[in-house]
Amino acid sequence: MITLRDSMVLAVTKLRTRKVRTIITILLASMLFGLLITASMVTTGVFDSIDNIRKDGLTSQYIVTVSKARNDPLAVQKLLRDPVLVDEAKQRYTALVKKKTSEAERLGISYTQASDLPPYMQTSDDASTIRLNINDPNGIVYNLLAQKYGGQPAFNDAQLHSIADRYHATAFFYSQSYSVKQGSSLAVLPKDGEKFYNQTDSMSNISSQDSIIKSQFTISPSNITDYFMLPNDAGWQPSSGALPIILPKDTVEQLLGLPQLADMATTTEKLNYLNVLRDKAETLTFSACYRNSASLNSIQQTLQQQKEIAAHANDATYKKPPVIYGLPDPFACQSPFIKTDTRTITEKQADENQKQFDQEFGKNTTPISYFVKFKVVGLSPSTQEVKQSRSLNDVIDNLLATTGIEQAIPKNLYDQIPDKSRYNDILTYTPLYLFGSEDNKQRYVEFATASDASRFIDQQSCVTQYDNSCKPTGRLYQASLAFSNSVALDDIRSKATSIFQYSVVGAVVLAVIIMWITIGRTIVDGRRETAVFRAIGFKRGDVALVYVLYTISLSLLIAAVALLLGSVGSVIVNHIYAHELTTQARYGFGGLGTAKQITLIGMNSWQIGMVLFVCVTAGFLSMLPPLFRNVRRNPIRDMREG
Amino acid sequence: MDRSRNTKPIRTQEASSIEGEDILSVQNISKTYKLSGNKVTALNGVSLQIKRGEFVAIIGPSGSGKSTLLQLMGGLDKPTSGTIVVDGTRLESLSDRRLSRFRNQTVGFVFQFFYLQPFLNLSRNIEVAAMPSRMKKGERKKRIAQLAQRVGLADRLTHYPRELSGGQLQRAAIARALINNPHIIIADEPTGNLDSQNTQEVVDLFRQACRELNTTVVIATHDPMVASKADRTVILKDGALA
Ligand SMILES: Nc1ncnc2c1ncn2[C@@H]1O[C@H](COP(=O)(O)OP(=O)(O)OP(=O)(O)O)[C@@H](O)[C@H]1O
Ligand SMILES: [Mg+2]
Repeated sequence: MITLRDSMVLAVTKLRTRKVRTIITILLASMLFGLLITASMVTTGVFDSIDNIRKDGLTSQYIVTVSKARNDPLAVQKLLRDPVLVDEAKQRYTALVKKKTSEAERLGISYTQASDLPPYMQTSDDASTIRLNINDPNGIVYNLLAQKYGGQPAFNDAQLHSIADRYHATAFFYSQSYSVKQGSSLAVLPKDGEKFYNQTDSMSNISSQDSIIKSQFTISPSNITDYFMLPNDAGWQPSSGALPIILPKDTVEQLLGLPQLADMATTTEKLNYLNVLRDKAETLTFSACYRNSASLNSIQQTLQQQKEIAAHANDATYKKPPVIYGLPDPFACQSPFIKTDTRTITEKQADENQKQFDQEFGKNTTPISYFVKFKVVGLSPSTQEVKQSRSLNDVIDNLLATTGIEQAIPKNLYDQIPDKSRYNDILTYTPLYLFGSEDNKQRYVEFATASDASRFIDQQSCVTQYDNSCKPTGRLYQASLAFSNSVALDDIRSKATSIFQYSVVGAVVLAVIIMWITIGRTIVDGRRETAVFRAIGFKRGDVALVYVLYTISLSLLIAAVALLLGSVGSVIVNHIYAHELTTQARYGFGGLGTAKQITLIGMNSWQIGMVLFVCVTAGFLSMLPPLFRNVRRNPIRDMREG
Repeated sequence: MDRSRNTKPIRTQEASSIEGEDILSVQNISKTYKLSGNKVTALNGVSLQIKRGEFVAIIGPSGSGKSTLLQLMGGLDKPTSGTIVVDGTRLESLSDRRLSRFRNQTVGFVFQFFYLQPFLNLSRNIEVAAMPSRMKKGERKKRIAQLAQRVGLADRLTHYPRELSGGQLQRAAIARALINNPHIIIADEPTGNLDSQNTQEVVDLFRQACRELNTTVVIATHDPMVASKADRTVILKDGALA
C-alpha cells in the first residue's frame, strides 16, 4: 500500500489540475447546495423569529375553547313542542288575559287580547302542531322553562377538569359574556347630530345603528387580556368612573377619528400608524349613550309625530296631537321632552292609567338614558384583518394574528371597581333555560403542547354538521383552538420541513447528475492514469485510495463553498427582507407591542448537516462506479486506448 | 538464438561471468486474444532465457508479438499457456497484489509513448514509482536528484510533461523506471518517437544501467542502431522466434 500521505499528495495535485473544470464543478454543485442551505437558514430564521415574537402574545399558547355538545339536533324543537309545557303556557296565557281584561276595565282603558301575542304559535311545517314561542313578550315561556330547568347547571366543570387532565391540561379559565339589556342601545354619539336623527327612521335603525362599539362585552381573565394591555393599564383608576375596556384596533381608529390607512401603505407607514394609534389610545376615554327601550320608543314616536305635523303644515283642518314632544340635544343623551301639553285632566288621567297598567304587567315605560364612560386600556387586533394568505407578508400576519378577542373588559380591573351596579344595564345576562341553567361562561383549557391540544380536540369533541347534529356522536364537547394559530404554525413548519426534504431529494438528483458528469468524467478520463499507476506497481486499493481522497476533497470543497454561498445568500436575503418583514410582523401582531425582530438567518444544524452529508455522498456515489470499472480493467488495454 | 549474440560479446561475457544464471525464463508461452469472436494468436510457443545483466533486443515486423511478449514478461498480462519465471518466481501463480509489487519492485517499464502522468511534474512523476514501496522521503529525494542528474533533467524537475520534448519525456520515464533499482528494465520501442540524437542518449542510459547496476534490459525495437547496441538480438516473426 502507498501511504495516506502519498495518496493525499496525488489527490490534491490532481484536484489542482484541470482548474476550469474543477472550478465549474465546484461552483455549479455548491450553488445548488448553497441554495438549499439558504432555504434552510431562511425558513428556520423566519419560523424561529415568528415563534419568538409569538412568545410576546397569546398565539404561542395552546388554548382550547370548550362548550357543551348538542347531540340531538331536534332537542329544542321537541322541547318547544312538549304538550305538557304547551298546555301549561296556554293556561297561564288565558289567566293573564283574564287578569289584564279585568284590570283594564277597572282602569277604564282599552285592552284586547288581539294585541297581546300568545306564548305559542303554529309550527311552520305542520299547522296542527303548536309550539311555544320563545320570544313571548309576556315572559310566560321564559318563566316556564326557568321553573323546569333553573335548578340544574348546564355544564359540569368537574367532569371537564378530569377529562382534560388526561391530556395534561395546564390551566382552566373562563371569560363571561354580557350584553346590553334587551331592547336597549349603547351608542357612541356621532359627531353629526343632524345626520343621527335623519338616519333613525325606524326602530331597528336606532338600536342597531352604526354604533362603533358593540353591545356585547366579555369580562376576561388576565390569562387572555394581559397580552393586549397598554402599558400601565393606560393609567386607569378604579375610582375614575370609567369602565376599562380593550377594543379592536379599528374601533379605536374610528373613535379617534383617524383616517383609514390606505391599502397601498408601506409596512413602515403601517407600523408608524400603529404606534401613533397606540400612543393616542393611551389617553382615550369616551362616552357611550345608553337608552332603554322606552327611551328609544319615545324618540321614534317623536320623529313620527314631527313628520306627521310637517306633512299637514298647510292643512287647516289638521288637529295637532295634544302632547307635542321635542327631540333632545343629540349630544346630550337625553330622552324627548314635552314641548306643549294641551291634554285635559281626563286625558291626563287616562294616560296615567295606561302607564299604571303597563307597569303592572311588566312593560317598561319610563325612558332612561345616560352616559357610560369608558377608558381604553388595551388594543386587540382588528376583526376583519385575517385575510387570505397571498404573500409571505399575509402568512406572517395570519400566523401572528390573534382572533376571537374583541371587546373585552379585563377581569382583574373590573373587580377593583367599587360600584359595579352602575353597569347593571349594559352588562346583563339572561339564560335561556333550554335543558339547564346555562351560564355565560366561555370555558378555556390550556395545554402545554400542540399535540395535547389536538388530541383533546380530536378525541373529545364533535363537529356540528349541516343538519345541526354533532359528529361523531356521543361526544360531550365542542372544542376548537382559541385565539391562536399555534397549530397552524406547527403545521406550516412541518410542511416546510417536508418540502425542504423533497427539495433536498431534488437537489441530490441534480447534484448527482452534475457530479456524475464532472467527477465521473474525470475518473473515466483518468483511465490512462489508472492504467499507468497500475503498470508501475500501484495496487487496486492504492489507485482507489487516490481517487477516493480526490473525490472527498472535491466534495468537501463543494460543501465548504456551499456553506459559504448559503450563508452569504441568507445574509443577502436577510438584508433585503428582514426589515420589511419585521415591520410587517409587528404590524400583523396587531395592537400588541413587540420589540423583537424577524431575522432570516437561522441555523438548523440537522438540515444543514443533511445538505452537507448529501453533498459528500453525491460526490462519492458518482465516483464509485467509474472507479470500480477502471481499477478492474486490464491496464494495458487502457494505456493503448487512452 | 546464438545468431543474435553478435554484437558486444565483451559485455555479454561480463554479464554472464558475474552471475551467469537466468534471471528470466520464458517457457513455451502462447497468447491468444479474443476479439469479438475472432481469435488472434499473438504469441505461439515462445521460449526464451535471459541472463542477469544481459541487454537483449527483440526485433521483428509489426504485429509479430513483440509488445505482447514484453507485457507478459513484465507481469502486465498473463499468457494463455506456458510459464514465465522471473527471479525464481512463477508469474502466473501471483495474486494481483503480489503481481503489482512485482511490477513495482522487480521491473522497470519504459513505453514508446512515455506514459507520464500529465497532472504531475517531473519530480513527482519519478517519485510516484517509489510510492508503493514506501521509500523514505529523504531516500526519494536523493534518488530523484541522482537520476535526474544522470538523465540530464536536473533543471527540469518542476516542469510538467506538456512542457517537455519527447526525448526529455522518455528520459524522465527511464528515471522513473530506475528509481526502485529494478532487476529488469522492459522497454517497448522506447526510441520509436525520438530522433537519432535522443535515441543515442536513451540507449546509452540503458547501457549505463546495465554496466553500473547490472540491470537486465529487454528492449523491443524497429531501430537497427538500437538493436546493434544489444548483447543479443531476438527476432520474432508471427508470434514465434525466428
Ligand atoms: N489487446 C489486444 N487485443 C487483441 N489483439 C491484440 C491485442 N494486443 C495485440 N494484439 C494482436 O496481437 C498481435 C501482436 O501484437 P503486438 O502489439 O504484440 O505486435 P508488435 O510486434 O508489438 O507490433 P508493433 O511493432 O507494431 O508494435 C497483433 O496481431 C495484434 O493485432
Ligand atoms: Mg508493439
